[in-house]
Amino acid sequence: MTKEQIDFHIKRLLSGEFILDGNDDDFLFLKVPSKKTQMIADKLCGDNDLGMTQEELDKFLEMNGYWTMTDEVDLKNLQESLENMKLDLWYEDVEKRDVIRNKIKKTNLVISQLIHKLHNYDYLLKSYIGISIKSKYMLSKSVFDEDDNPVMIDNIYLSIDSILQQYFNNRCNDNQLREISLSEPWRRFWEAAKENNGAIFTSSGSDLTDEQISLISWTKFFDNVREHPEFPGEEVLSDEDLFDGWCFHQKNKRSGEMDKRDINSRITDNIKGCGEVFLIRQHEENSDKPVDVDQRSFVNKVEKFNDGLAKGAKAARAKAIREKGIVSEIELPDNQRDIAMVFANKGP
Amino acid sequence: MSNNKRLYYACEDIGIAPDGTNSFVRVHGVQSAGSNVSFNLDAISELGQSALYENKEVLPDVQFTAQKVLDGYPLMYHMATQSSTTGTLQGRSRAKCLISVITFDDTLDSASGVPQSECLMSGMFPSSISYTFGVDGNFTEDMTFVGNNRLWRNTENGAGGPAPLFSGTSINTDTPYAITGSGGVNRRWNFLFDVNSIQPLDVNGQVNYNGATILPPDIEGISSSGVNFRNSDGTFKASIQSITASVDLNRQDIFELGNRNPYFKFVQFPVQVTCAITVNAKKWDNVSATYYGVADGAGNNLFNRSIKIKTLEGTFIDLGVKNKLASTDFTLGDTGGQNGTVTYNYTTYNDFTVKHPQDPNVSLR
Repeated sequence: MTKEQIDFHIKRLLSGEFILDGNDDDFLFLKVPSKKTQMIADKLCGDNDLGMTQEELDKFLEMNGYWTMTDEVDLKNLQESLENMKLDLWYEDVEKRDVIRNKIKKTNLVISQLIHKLHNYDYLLKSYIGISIKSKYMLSKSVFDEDDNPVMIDNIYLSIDSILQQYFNNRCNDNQLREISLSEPWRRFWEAAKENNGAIFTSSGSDLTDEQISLISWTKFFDNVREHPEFPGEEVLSDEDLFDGWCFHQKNKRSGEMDKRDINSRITDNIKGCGEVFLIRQHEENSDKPVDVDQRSFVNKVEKFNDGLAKGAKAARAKAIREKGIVSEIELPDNQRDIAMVFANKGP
Repeated sequence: MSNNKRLYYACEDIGIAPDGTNSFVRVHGVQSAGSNVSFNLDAISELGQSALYENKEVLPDVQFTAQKVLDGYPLMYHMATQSSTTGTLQGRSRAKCLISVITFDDTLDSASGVPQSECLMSGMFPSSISYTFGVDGNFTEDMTFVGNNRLWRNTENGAGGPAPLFSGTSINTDTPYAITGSGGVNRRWNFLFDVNSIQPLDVNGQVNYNGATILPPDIEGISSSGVNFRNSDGTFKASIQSITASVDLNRQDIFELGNRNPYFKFVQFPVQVTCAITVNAKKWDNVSATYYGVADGAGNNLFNRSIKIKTLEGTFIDLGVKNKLASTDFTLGDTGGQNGTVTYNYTTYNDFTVKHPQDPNVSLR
């Protein structure tokens, strides 16, 4: 976004209102609907029985080939590889980052195409129709003129559909709110409000708009990141992909530490001194993961404990056991090597 | 030969079978286990040659250690000694067992649900046994086994390897045995102190009863009959923090000409049995000692004491009637809010009878 766009959105977000494009100087505004209006809108949404359930839509998409199992797997894999690319971006040298950034850009494009494909028929959903009814009702009760007088939709030049269109087209998406939360003008307002122990928005918590809530969340999140012992610097915060890479790195680090604590708590002092430590799989309580996924994540967790030497020894053992079927302890390749070394050390 | 490397294996199950059979039974509630193998090498030189004449491999020592929670299922000690004819330490000392640990393959991609190899240890004798009951955490059984044989078997499906002797169970529904009756995995509130009916006294004047824990009266708060009675508010007179009963069998190999393997791993009786009881220090350690003996005026400061331990899930440990206080450790409280504690260390010899309602050998329950 340009500086002007950011400034405009900040003012809009601070006011809590939404300006509608209209006839020249004849401005109309959208305000946060009253609680009563919201309640009626929720009821209208709930009363709607038109449209398909998610399950029915899934079947419809699958039967007509609009969304296949392959698409599902592709999307999942792309999202996973996007996470890995962002991690690579964090780990990689500065000069090599451009190549990864290009890959990320391409992957994001494919992901957004797939997501568009997945949600292309959402308008058939009961929930979508309900939300549409709700939104239209709320918008119809939220239009005001410049003097704060409510305006009846039937009396103006804009249709409810065009208001809805404007509202969704011009509101900030999550990425834009993230950008705004890092921008200088916004941070100035935020810090000033903190200094004065005052609220930054005039409305109370329950009257905040979705955009205002999201902006507060992003700002608080970045405040916390700035207090992190490994704070990566302001340039990283403003680089969306690089910062995502840092977050994934921190997440992996934390999950690795938790795994380590979990495994260590199960190893008693007697067992700590053993050459082979056997860790029994404990099923996660209330886990809805399939057994094989559960096993795989457990194996991964345990494998992290083996250093390079141990991994090599285990791989050699597995190979020998696979080849011979039954292998005695002394025939294990790592033991053979250890014995040979002892023999060599006892020589002249 | 020392073993410096440490390999971590993800495994599915551990099974124990009486030696000479393949009747493996899954050990429930195992937390973790470890194993060590030492190859004993004997360097032989000859006169006139600087190079080694032969580096003789004598006999590998295999050790297996495991910890399980007390959960109503059979104890490892009982599973390993189910061929015994009596339940005493001597009676169970001759039995040996097979232990199977089934592991997943090392390669992450191959963890497809079928365990890939079996680590099989045969001729394993219990070497040390320990039971721990603490206010924090689960009650546990720790065991170490010793033997001389360990094999690795490829049991991967379709790989042409041998069928696993113990196939384990890849289930997601295992729960402690009879969870409603036995308290599940037992913790501090499953420790039984209450003697609810009149019971006979033993030679030490302590209650001779297998349904509750009986402790030495030396401990401040324990009655002269060995019972930890309750105060009027339901709390106990002695606030026991932990009890650990253990024995190290100190097995020795007995060899015979013509065999490389020992024909028996003999327990060098008498073996010392220890019991450490830690209580919160409410007053003192209640122990006096003088050169002329305060106990009976005949040079003795100590009496023989009986110790019995009982948990809700069924484990009952009888340390006999000849336990004597070996030492007390008084730990003072500190400024950090740590309570003062007294640990009473009792020792006896050979008396270590453990019973459990799920003992695979029904006659020893």
